Amino acid sequence: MFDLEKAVQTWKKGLASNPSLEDGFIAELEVSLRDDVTGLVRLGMTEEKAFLQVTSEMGRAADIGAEFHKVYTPRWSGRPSWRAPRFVPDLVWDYFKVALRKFKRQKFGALINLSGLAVGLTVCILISLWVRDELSYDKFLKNRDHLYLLTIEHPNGGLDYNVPYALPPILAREYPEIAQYSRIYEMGISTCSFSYQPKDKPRIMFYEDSFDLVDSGFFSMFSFPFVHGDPEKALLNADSLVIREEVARKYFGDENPIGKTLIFNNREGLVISGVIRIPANSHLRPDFIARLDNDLAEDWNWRDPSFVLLNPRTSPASFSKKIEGSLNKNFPQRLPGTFKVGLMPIAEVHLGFGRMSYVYIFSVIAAFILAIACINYMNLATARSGSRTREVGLRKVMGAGRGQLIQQFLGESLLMSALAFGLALALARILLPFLNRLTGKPLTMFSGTSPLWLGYFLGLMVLVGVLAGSYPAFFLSARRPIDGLRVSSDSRPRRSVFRVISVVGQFTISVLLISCTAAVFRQLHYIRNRPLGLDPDNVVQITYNPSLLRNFEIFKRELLLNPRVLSVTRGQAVPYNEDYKTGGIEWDGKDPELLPLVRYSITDFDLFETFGMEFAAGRSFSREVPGDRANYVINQKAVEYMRLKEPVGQRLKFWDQEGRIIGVVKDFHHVSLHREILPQVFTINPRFYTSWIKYIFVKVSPGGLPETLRAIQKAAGKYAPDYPFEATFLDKGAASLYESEKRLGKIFTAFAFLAVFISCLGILGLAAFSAEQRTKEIGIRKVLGSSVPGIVALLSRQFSLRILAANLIAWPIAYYAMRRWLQGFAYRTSLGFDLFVLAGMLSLFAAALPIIYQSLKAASANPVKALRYE
Amino acid sequence: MISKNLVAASTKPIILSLLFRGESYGYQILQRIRRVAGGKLAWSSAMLYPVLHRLEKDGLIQSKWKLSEEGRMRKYYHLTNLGRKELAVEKEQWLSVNDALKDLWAAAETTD
Repeated sequence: MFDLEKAVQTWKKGLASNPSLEDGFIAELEVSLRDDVTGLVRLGMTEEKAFLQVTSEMGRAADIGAEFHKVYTPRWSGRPSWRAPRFVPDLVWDYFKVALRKFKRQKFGALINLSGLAVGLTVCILISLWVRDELSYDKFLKNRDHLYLLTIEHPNGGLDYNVPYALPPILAREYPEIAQYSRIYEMGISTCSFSYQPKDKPRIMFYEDSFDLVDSGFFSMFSFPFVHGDPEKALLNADSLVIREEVARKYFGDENPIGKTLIFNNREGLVISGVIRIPANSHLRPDFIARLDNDLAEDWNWRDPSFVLLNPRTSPASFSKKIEGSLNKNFPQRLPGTFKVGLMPIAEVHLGFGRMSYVYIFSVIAAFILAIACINYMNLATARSGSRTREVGLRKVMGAGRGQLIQQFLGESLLMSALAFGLALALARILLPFLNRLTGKPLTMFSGTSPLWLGYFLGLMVLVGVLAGSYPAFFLSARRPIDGLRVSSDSRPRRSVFRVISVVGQFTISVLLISCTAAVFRQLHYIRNRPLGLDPDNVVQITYNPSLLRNFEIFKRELLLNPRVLSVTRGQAVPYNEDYKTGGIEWDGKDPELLPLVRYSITDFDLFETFGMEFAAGRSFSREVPGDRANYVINQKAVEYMRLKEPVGQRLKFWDQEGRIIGVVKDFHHVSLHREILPQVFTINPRFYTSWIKYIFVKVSPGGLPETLRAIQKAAGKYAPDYPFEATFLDKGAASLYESEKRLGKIFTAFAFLAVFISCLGILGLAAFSAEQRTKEIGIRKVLGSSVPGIVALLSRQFSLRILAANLIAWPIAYYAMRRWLQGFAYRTSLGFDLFVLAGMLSLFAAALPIIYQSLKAASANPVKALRYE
Repeated sequence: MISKNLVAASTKPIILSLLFRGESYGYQILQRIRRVAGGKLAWSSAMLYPVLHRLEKDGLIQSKWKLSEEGRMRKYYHLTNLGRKELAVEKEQWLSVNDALKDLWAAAETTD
């Protein structure tokens, strides 16, 4: 028999199962149902049929529920009314309090996390500052997109950024795509001095190294801001001179220097037509700029950097195809092989020639160190998760969803990362001067900061918070409430694959950095101890000037009267610093196909004696031999290069001056061991003296150096009273030879130390935790007779295995990376296995310290205390 | 049968118009619609009640539980002032659509 009441109750129950249908809604529907049924029964239908018809018309509970749900759900969130909101603002304060309490309760862990993240972020901030600066070079130029450096690719693949003087004007004539060109003639290779005579005040005079002659279009290509003067008119006259702001201050103080005259080398008056401000991130930074006169237009041997400004509509790719063969085509002599002329965008000039790889290397290192810090956070948070499962359980029971818990834990890591970021900013601020000293850059934290940069900082902070917090958040929030709430006897941490991988990963990075540091230092040691082939110790370098040129012989004679002065000579630069190359050389039996390229030295008698260079054959230049000034000395590499069987006595033509080879000097090393020893020719022909000699070198005996120096100064004052006296000791100069390698060594040491430091912080935290977890086990083992060393061994075994694994992973990577780096040196050390063993030992030792400390603490505790607490 | 879209669009003016005559409850509203439209408008209670709730949420109508003469508790709905205004707006819109269509069809017939 059909019971309407029963059927209605069942139907209502069905509705009630839908969370959207509240009791009131159901009551309303029920009345409607009853009215409908009554109506239909009145029309003669049975109760059962009427009920079935009406309920089927109404549809399923889910559909009705969905309709009501639509009515009562705010459209923007889409959250059903019965579900707890994802974000409860009232809980934020609670989360915050809980987080702070956790920090307070677990001071040790929080401190490890905070310091690790802070150090990682500091490294990241500093490297970001450096990278930003590196990438910003020459971007301030208005024509940056159309300015190119002309390059020449040699047939052997080498890229040369000095092009013959004659080439740019020819290109500009031939191709209308070139709007402007400018060659940069570096006057600084010979002595430059400037003097200024203020009214009623003594004359001001300095030697200057950075004086460039440029073509008249220079300032329409390079938009250096003018402090005084007009860029359009700045190079109008042959005697116009544009100077840098700093230079203007040096000579003129606060006066406006426009129209004032600086005397160049006591000869030529140059009138200042402009004062420019060169931004710190300009790769081109001459102190003095004057117009280049066109007498070099036909010169194919003299080479310097040249820039071209292309018309905005020219496609650089197709244009460089067009000019590719222009050197071979225009060069007056037939050139062997194909020399390709190319274009290098101005923005790449600074980062070209290997610098970009440092940008990559340091960015990767920053990411690595930050990753180590984040891994620490993850490890400690998950390792300590035992202490939080109860909280998670309770929260879940009280209705928190997984999303809310994830929010809470992510919020905690974000809070941590924000605190760390604050610390990191302060630390970076403190460390910035050191970075600046190391890199020679005037970096500041916030000047010229764009919103994008602030956004980057903020993004970095959030990224670290999310990276560090995401794994713990997902891991913790996945716990079942019952696990946390049951009084569990099994609180032993399960072996987590993640933790193993992350510890191994951290130490892989650390070992990698340690081995790279070791390799850099080994190479540094190698190049420092490799015999240079000459002895720069106790040699005084004096800046040459026209007066000393005139009085050189008498000056030399006077110096040699001093018993402490051993020998005196002069030249373009210290032999190991010279890098002047030329093709202007001919010899008997030269392969006519060969376009020679040799280094040359313009020097004087006694050069080899002053620098203690040895001869392999023949003799040095001698005053006793008449006409010896026309002869040449070459090095061993040159003998090989010229394929001379009997070099001494051979005829040689250098810059069209014929002479004979009188001696072969033993090879000696150059500026940096990056460069190979090249064939070299030495001449003492006075024809070349006027503009080529820049220094006088005086070898002195080691004792009483200040007195000797004073005597030299006195003599110089006598023979060149119109020029300042400038002298330095060369051994100091030799020390600065490997500056960039030394700098790299320092930077790597710092990074390796930081990586190891942060990794060890993590190990310290994990070791403390694992010792804490095993308190009872240790207690029982001790009661049963285990010794302290036994327990230490027990606790450290696991970590040692992981660090060994990390070493095995890191070694091949480090080996590969360092081999590539060393290939950049013409002379390099070998990478021995001992280097890697050393790195491994260091990493083990560094990790062992915290582990042993924690284990000893745990092992030496009174077992009674460990066992009693229940 | 009237298309689904048109039914959905017309629920609001129809309910408001019915309630303009005085307060009413769900079942009665359904019955009246059936009577007016002669079965052409297929309304179900599953459709009506959420609409009533929506209108109430928007403040056009208000509801009250009352004991009816037959002794059943029913939820009665009546128009609010806002509802009256809304009805006037709806009425104008529907009439203008109606006028427009009528004109168009009249024109179509004369040109044929």
